[in-house]
Amino acid sequence: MIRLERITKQYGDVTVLDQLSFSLKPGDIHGLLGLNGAGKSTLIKLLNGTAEPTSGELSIDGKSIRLTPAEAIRHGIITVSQEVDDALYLDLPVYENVLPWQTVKRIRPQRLKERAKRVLSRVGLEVDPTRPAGHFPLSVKQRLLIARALESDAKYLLLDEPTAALSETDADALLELLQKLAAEGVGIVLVTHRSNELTRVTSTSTFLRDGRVVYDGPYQLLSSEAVQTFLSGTTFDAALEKAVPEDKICLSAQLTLPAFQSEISIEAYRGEVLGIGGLTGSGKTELMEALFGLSGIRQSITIDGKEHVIKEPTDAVREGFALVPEERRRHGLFLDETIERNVIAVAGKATRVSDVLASLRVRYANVKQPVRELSGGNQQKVVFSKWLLEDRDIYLLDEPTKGIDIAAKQDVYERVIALAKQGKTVLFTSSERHELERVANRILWLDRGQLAEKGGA
Amino acid sequence: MAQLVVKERKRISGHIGQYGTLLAILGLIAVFTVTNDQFLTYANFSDIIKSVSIVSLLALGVTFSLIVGGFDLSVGSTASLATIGAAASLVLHRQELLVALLIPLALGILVGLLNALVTIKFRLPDLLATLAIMYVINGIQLTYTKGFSIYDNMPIEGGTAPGRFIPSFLFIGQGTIGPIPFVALLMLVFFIGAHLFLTYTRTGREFYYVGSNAEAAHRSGIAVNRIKLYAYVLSGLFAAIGGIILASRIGTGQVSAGAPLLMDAVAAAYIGYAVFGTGRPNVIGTLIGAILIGILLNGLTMWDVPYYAQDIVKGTILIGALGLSYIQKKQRT
Repeated sequence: MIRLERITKQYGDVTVLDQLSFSLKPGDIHGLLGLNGAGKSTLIKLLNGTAEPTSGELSIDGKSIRLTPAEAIRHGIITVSQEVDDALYLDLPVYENVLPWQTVKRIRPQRLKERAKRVLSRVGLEVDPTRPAGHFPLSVKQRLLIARALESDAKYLLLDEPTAALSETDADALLELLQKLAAEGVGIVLVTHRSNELTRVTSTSTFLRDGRVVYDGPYQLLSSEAVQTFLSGTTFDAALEKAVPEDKICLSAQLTLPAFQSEISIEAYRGEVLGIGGLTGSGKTELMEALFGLSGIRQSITIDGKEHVIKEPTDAVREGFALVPEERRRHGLFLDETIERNVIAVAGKATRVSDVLASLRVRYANVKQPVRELSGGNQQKVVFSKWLLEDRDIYLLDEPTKGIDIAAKQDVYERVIALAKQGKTVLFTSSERHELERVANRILWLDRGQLAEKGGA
Repeated sequence: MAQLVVKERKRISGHIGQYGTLLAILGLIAVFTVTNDQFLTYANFSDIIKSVSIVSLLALGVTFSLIVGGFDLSVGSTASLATIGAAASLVLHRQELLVALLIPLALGILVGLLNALVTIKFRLPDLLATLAIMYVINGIQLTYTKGFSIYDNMPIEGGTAPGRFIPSFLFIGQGTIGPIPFVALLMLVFFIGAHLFLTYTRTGREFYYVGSNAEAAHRSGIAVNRIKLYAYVLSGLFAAIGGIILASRIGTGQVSAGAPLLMDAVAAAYIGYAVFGTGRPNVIGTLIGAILIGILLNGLTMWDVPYYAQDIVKGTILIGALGLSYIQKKQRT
């Protein structure tokens, strides 16, 4: 059992965790909840030795210990991070990815492949161990990391939002695997925002708010109002007053999606929030990228009755488009730059920056602060802010609420609807239908690069 | 308790980053002044400034390429090419000042375009591509001169060369305005201009965006490839200006004269990472880095350290500068 007692963690003057106690037992699936910035990531870092507590005691099986990353691994504490690509050797074959090098005594490829196959079957994978890891989708990559953890005799697994980017089927399968591992005696910390997952698999859950534990016990006992109260301290109104679209088509496009070799046509009205739904890999991102000139081919797009050719993002920006990309860290942010520099990257002028940030309720200390210091939800709002400094006509928001907490989601919804009320056109993608139903005037559903259905919400 | 120690250490290295380079410069001046009475003289400082101006301009070019996330290793050979270009115009073709300036500048821009072509269009890794271009350029100037230097009254077929290094050209590297060497003013103008451009103009900031995250820049509507092209052309241009000053200072066109400047320039740019503790390439930092190296090499020469042994010192400084920038990068993440 890993036990943290009255742990405090400070970065400079900021207290991230305050007198926190937490314990992880073998065989438990322990849910960890909290809004962005509540201290979940820091808690994970303390558990895997990448951060040291400022004060307080950490013990494993009753013995007090100072954890370093190497020490943590020696005790079988393995982390499966959200950014799987950072932890894998994408151009090396699967078997070299799942076998931790420390455990490889002699390199005999044939034996190693056999060994890899055994552990791959333990995590329910049947893949060719000689293929490069980079070939596989996220769901497989995650299992490669879990397989690697098992090979290093993991006693504790720390999973940071493993299901956030998975389709429902893949997420279900992953949870089943976790349950199997827990039955074998592995202690698991599961960070997730999804209540059905918490209800289904966790034996106990810890809620963090502002660095403190606000609830520690079975998730299943809580009503959804209680969950919201524990997370944010307040409750949110379920209904938002939607915008009313004008009877004027703003955007009309017949697009080619090279990745699916499909054609798709869409229309959106001025002042409308058009919801575009679909699972991961259904073509939502490709659709947004095609509109923004990222598909690699020329697309003909009609805006307010005038036809434009768009083949580069510079064209799209000139015609009044804005894109908030799905992968905010890789495609949306200049992590080394300050918040201010990020916000003015498009408009170029440094006026009204704090107004725009305030309109999205971004929580920050100083606009000169590096954007990498912000939590995920606030980083996402900064990416959004970049396009709010200057008037844009058409906003393309690709999974703008992915991986951010409910309070931040609420802020994004409100801003989106406010934009539509100003007469802007907003395209909003999500894999969660209920979310689209809350903000969108109409919803299009995508499947393999084709429109599956239409309908009002 | 352990935590406190770690924090303290971080803070100290942060200060070393911020003020260490300036302290190092003052320290070096103090040491050299005490050990050599010729060091702190007007003549010697004017010498230092003249050599710093050449290295710093090459380093400025390297800095531009580093800012956009590239790396220009061809600046030394570009400077040599510019030296030969200027000397050939003056001595072999008897041209006046304007041509003797335009030819090397055009050559510098051409090299920049070539670097842009191989790195942006052909997508070759910057470090290796510009290394290859460096060899190509060296070969071109050696072929053109057949390995000989170009100087006043040099023998050519049927007599001596028709032209010479004219005084107006020599003024660039040797002249003074009042007590101040002309090159010092030139250097300041370019550095202040580059600093203002990168800090206060839209296009200038775009250089940093491209270097920070090219994909995000692309998706913000920034013309990434065009910015990279500008960076390489500026790099070639500044290297050529350095070459012109070099030719004017020594009064001959020496083949490969710019080659030893490459390491100095790269080291200056990397020391620049550390100067303000930002851990990123920046123009003012580069200037301070170049001054540090200039003072150090001058002092070592006065101590009679042979030029070949000075390479050991230069290499060590580069490692130190790289190490410091690496530490700062790590602290930020």
